[in-house]
Amino acid sequence: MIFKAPRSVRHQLLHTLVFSSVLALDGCAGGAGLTPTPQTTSAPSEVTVAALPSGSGSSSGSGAAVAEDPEVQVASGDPRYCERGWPTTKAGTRPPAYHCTTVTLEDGTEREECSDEVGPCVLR
Amino acid sequence: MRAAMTSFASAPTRDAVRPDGRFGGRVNRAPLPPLGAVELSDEARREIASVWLVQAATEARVATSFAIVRASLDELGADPGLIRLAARAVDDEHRHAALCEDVAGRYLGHVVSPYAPLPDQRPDHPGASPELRRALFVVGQCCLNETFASAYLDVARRGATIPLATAAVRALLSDEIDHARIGWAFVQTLPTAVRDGLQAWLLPLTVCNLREWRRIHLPSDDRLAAHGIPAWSDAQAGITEALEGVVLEGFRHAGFDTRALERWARRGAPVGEVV
Ligand SMILES: [Fe+2]
Ligand SMILES: [Fe+2]
Repeated sequence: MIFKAPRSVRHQLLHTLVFSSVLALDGCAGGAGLTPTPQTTSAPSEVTVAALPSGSGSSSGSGAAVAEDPEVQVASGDPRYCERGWPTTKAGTRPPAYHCTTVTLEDGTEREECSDEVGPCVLR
Repeated sequence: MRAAMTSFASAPTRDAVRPDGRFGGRVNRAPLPPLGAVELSDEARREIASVWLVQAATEARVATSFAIVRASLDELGADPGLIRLAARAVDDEHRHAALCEDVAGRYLGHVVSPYAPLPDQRPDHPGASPELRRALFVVGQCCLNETFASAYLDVARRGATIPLATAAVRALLSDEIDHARIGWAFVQTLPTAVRDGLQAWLLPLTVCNLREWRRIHLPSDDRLAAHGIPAWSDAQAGITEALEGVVLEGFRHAGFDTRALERWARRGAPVGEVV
């Protein structure tokens, strides 16, 4: 993979986006159905992802998803891995996979039709 | 002088900004600075303007995404602060569309035509219960999409040297941070049943949303970086850093089991066919 970023320092956005997010809450106590989740009071582990041995984790939880592997799931036809995500807000030089073609209608007029379809979902 | 005071966004796009929005109907806290004396060919101006105009279309489409997020939070009985932020985010994205058009127009030297609207797009999350689907909408759009957007803009901000581009990127970034916080606060207030349902979806949700970001089209070099348009590889590097340093850490912080995500990330976070 070409995107190997240094992970020795905590990402600067982590504090801004995640740790500070509770400031967005009016308050949870007495909320309609949603209560604060017991969570780690200490900061997340400093252990980097790369340093973790395969199959181990620094996290808590039920472990229900631990066995999942995207390639296996796609091969088995799990549709959860092949649907479109939310559209990005930063499309760059053109919208992603937004292909337009000119089609001729039955009455001979031409119309531009655009498709947002993507190809088959094959992990590689 | 006049150029500094005038918006180059189209009237329909400016009209979509609500008078009770974040800046009381204004597109931004302060008017964008003029482009100023920049040596650019007409072709370069058109190219830069077209990128910002495409972004106007994609920003506006996300207003629809936030209408869904807002309704989902409402139906889930989420914290009122999050519902208010999501409601404001709908207008934020319309402001972003106007801001992007304004930038495009400043490069062209005239008011632009309205962006060409894009078809709405949202995931279905097959097999999820209605309640879980609503939670997935919030997590997918806010924790993932807006975090990746923030990472993208962070890269764009570091590369931008033209004051107009710098001001625009900073304005966008400060709002997208708010949008991501909706999700990260939400996952810290989940009832157990929804949390357990989400756990099994974390990996597919992340794969599918990251795939959208891997598919964006950007220059192969940094020739437009000064204008807030990063090279594809730089943008992807920033997004990958955010995947590992923000998304995985964020889910871990919220108490999720992230081992499957970590293994996937270690293998290079493959997302499948990228068109
Ligand atoms: Fe936006
Ligand atoms: Fe946003």
